[in-house]
Amino acid sequence: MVAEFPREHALLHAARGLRKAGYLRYDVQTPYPIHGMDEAMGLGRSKVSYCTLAGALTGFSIAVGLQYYAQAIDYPLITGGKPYASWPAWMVIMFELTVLFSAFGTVFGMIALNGLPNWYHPTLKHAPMLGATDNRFFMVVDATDVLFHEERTRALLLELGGRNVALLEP
Amino acid sequence: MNQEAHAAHGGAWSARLDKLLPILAGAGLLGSLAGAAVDLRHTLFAYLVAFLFGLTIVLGMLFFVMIQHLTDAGWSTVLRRPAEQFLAALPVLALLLLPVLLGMQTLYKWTNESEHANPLYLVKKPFLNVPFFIFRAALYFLIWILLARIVRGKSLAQDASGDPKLSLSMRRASAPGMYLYAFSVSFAGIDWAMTLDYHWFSTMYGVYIFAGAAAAAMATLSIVSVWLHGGPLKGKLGDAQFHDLGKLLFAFCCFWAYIAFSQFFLIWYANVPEETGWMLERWNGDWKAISTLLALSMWVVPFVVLMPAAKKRHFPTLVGISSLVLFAHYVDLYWLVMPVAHPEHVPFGLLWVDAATLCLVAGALGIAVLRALKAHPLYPVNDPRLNEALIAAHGHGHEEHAHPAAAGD
Repeated sequence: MVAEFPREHALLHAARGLRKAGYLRYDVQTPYPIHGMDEAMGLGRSKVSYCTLAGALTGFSIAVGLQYYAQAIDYPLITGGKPYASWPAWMVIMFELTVLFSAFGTVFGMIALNGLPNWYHPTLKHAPMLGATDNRFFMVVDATDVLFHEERTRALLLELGGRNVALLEP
Repeated sequence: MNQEAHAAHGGAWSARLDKLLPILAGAGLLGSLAGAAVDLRHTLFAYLVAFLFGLTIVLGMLFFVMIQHLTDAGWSTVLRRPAEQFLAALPVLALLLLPVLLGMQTLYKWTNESEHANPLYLVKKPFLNVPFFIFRAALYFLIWILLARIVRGKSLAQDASGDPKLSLSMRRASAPGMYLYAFSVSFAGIDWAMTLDYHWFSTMYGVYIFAGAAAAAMATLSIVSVWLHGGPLKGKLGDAQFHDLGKLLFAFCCFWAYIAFSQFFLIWYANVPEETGWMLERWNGDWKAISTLLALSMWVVPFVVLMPAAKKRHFPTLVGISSLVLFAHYVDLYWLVMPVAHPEHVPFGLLWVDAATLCLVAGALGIAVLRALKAHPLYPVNDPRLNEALIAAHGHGHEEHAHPAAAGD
């Protein structure tokens, strides 16, 4: 179910209202990021940093494993009079792979946490929604929310100041 | 606003330090004199470490102030003033250099007649000779005091006049100033610390000194900011600023580690005897423990502890890690200087002399900085970007504050 709000303050107010009412599966569509919306929706801290950390540890382990296996186990070769397992020489690769996999973790983690790729969404068929990329503010409540009820949700959205409330086909 | 800032000075926020700092400096002076009577050579080396410790922190502050002007930063406007007041200690530092110059014959082997036939000395003689060394020392201080006069003097002048053009002129001066700064700090590090062992050289030495200086200055500024935040600057700083200080501290510790490792790595990899000797000296016997302590305290612990976002704005953590970084910075300079005087063993028995010289330098600088802090408003009261900083201090959007209780409006 989608409702339009005239200004960002109205949308912030509506987001707080929905959260207070106990809704969990709702989202806003706006032309630009709204300051304070994370708090209004109670989104909390992003979990992307854990994906970054996982990526960093993976990259670090791969770098250590790769170089240790290649230079100390599989094909031990004395280079420049150094021991087989010379960690200083590996540092550059360790650093680079840690950074590379951190970036992978961050980008792919962000994409996955955003629920992408998502080839279809009911709002794509709702023509006024195009305005969300221009100058209009929308609130979308998912019908899968346990609290969702066609009449009651519509009434709540209207009460919170929503206009042009519409139920979209799935 | 001006009056409010001045009114804060009537408070007792500095009373304890007012008493403590002269005692610290006095005790340090007595201890240093006693040290000089016991072991003059060690006392001079210890004094050099202490002098470099104070100098690098003040120079790190100069860098911080200039980079804020260069980037036209608004968030740091309030923080800039305490950093600026550290620059008031530069003339004191120039005076504190005198014992180093007087003790040259003991500190710097290349000044001795016995070295003057050494082929390695003859090659470096056009640069490494006493008159040019003293001339350069004067030049460095001239550059630093000149830069300080611009970025500190104009900022203080703006308190009274509120002229926004002063901000612009400070920014314009900071661009060429940064070049002067980079060269003078590099060469000062090379002159005063690297030439202790004049056979050895590292092209990374200058930036290594700078990296330590920047990290130590961020640590000092964090501690000073937390202290002032609990007193006369209450309400002028917010989580956002402490988070940024924490980020800068974290970043410069990593930068230091990057430079330190790069310096080690190239020497280790090339394995050329004239370069490795210096590293070996610091990896032999109990110096190995100091090297390990340095790596742990300057990078490993700060890196791990400051990693989570929330820790950077948690005062006990920020102050704790800042203190650790300051300790590590002292160890760093000790590690650079002291093996020249004591190549065999770490002189643990003479640590009291090191402590005394450090108290002397820290006390003297502390008095100069505190005097400056008390003589002027504690934040740039008429800076055109002040509002931006105050809004940043009390802005929203910090995820840690997202709490169900915030829902009620």
